[in-house]
Amino acid sequence: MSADIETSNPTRYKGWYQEDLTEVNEPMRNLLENYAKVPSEDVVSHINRIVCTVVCLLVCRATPT
Amino acid sequence: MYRSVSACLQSYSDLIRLHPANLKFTLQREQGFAVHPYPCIGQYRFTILTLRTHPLYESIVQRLKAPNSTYLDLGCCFGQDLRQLILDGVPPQNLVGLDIDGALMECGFELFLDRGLDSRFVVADVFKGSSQKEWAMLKERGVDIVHCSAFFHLFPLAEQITAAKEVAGILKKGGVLVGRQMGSTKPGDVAAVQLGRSGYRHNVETLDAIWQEVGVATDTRWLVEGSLDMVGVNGNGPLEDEHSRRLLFTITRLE
Repeated sequence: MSADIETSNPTRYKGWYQEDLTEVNEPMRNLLENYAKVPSEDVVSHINRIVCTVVCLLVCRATPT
Repeated sequence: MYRSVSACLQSYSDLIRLHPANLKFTLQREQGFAVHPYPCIGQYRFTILTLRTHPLYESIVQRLKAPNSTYLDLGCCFGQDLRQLILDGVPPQNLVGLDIDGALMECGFELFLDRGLDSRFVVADVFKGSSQKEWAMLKERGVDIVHCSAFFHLFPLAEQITAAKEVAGILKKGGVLVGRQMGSTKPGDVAAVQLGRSGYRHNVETLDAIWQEVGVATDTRWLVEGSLDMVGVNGNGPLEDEHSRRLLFTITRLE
């Protein structure tokens, strides 16, 4: 049984990019604190900054000069 | 000509530092999500370390500690699962991350602050297989464990079979493909975010069927084990419905 394949619906994108993280799950926190040595109080902002960087990169790549 | 990555970073770096949240949403509004809308990033799913929750994780770690073992993370995104393996004692040189998008792996070094890491990161397209030097080298080296999370479900059935055949070609006998992806109690195509694209979602039976086909085509034999559950599934999410399930799988090369 197949779902109908939508061909044109930009509103599908809504809800994809959620608000910035305010908390992070324990395993990822553990990884960032113990592997990457990110200070505990900086973990969430560190992740948000990386995501923002990635979004900027992707947008730049798609933008012709 | 598109702006280079370094030029982008140059122009945005100060803005990012000062107003990260506002900038992100401004960009999204202006660009209309025309870029690759990976939910692994946009919904922060990369923060969920999936490999460590696989039932075989402990034995995978032990296997990868052995010399000459090789792990390949197919669609590794930031390489978060590789770093977890390293934290658990696996030698970095046994680990390979692969993604079609080099920018994600580059940002992984920023995320994990480990630019000198001795693991291999490969930019490659699974569908192009051994026509790519890096893939041919992996084939020659042989891989013990392939991890792919949220990968196969990006593609329609025929393309999944193509990709599976390429993976079959690099796995050692006795090697294992593990991972998870969006599955369904009603297997079939589901619209992807990219316009006109769809991804096929399996249950265990349909997954087994494609690996039987792969086996016949590549003269190999596979044991498919898997399960459907509701872990991490939100029936109201952008790409999910009441039939959506997490499909957890272990696919072993017997011959």
